[in-house]
Amino acid sequence: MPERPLRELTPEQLMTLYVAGQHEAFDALYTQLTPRLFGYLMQLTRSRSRAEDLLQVTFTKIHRARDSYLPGAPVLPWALAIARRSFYDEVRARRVRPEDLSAEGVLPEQVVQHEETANELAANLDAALSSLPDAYREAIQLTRLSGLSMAEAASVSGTTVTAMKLRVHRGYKALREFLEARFGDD
Amino acid sequence: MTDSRPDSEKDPFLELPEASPLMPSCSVSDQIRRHCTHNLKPARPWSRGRRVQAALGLCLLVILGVVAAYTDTPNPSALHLCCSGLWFGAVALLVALGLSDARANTRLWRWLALGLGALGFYAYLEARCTSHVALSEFFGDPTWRSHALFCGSFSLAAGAAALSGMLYLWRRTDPFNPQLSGSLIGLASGIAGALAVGLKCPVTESWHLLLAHGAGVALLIGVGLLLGRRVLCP
Repeated sequence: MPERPLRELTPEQLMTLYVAGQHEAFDALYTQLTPRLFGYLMQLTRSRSRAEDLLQVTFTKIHRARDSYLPGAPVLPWALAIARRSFYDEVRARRVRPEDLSAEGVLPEQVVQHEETANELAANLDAALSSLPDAYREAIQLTRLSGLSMAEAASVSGTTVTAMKLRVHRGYKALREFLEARFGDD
Repeated sequence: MTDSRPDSEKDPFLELPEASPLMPSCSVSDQIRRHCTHNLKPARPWSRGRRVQAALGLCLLVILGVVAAYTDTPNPSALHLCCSGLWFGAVALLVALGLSDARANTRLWRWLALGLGALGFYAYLEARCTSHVALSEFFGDPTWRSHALFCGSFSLAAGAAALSGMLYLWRRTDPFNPQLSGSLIGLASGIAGALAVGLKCPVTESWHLLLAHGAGVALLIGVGLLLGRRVLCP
């Protein structure tokens, strides 16, 4: 392992050191992964508190599964896939908890939080993303916002590269149509 | 530099200002750091190759165990041994390639391997049969029924033992397609169980082969699919 500061190592190198038992490697890994993981979870949940809960669940699973991490395998898609599964497990669990449902038997409306969006364009894009079908929104979140390649995003979503490209293309098309319809030529 | 593309092709995210990275609260970060580094000991991950070797060793052990348990039946013919050996090779390929790299974009061919593997094995069982009785006669005759129950139970038990072992070996390794990986493990262990019983069972009637030797394969694929998400996903 090269003798470089931890912050200069790749997530894969840090993960290998963490598996070998180095505390400091985890701190550096956490610093590198968390912005992308937390951003992805915020996009999925639209709620800071739920995103924080899921982030804790995700890192707990990463910690428990570190002995099954394949050395050299890309860490970010692996971590995002764990986060994604954790999110859908939580959604399923919430659907069967009646205390979470309203009197009409539906889940409470998610509050779209705009405090993190910097300006009007960001708010508009946020609203446009919220209007997309789940598959298209997730495709754009993974490729454009989390910066994964098509192959990595397809792995995280459990689909093929062709299907992912199609979802991204259709998602972008739907985004533009939404923005044009709502905001015209502004 | 101006973007001269028509509006219909422009990337709506290009004009977005660089946002500061989202981070959780300090207390959440501290909690995560404490939890993930508390009493941190080096883990000893198994390589893919080691897992594959252990899985194949387990399948072989199951097959030899069942063969040893059948003490009063004739040994299989050379042809039968060769075919069983080839199918064991297919199981080895299934395990080595189908479970080795779940993260890559291999979903399509893995589903194909699952489908073709199951169909191929059933075709092999059909090719082995030398006699055929009507289904009503098969279920109506107590001798056929008891023999089928005996073989079916043995095949299922052997396959289930292999399935449990392989699920344990591959636990928490696949967050991408755990159901597909579980199904492949079910197929491999189901074939191992059927091969084990097939080596010593002298009956080659078609319903017996399909139901008593082959039904366990379909059942274990289903069990692997269901358990895959729970056991194989971190």
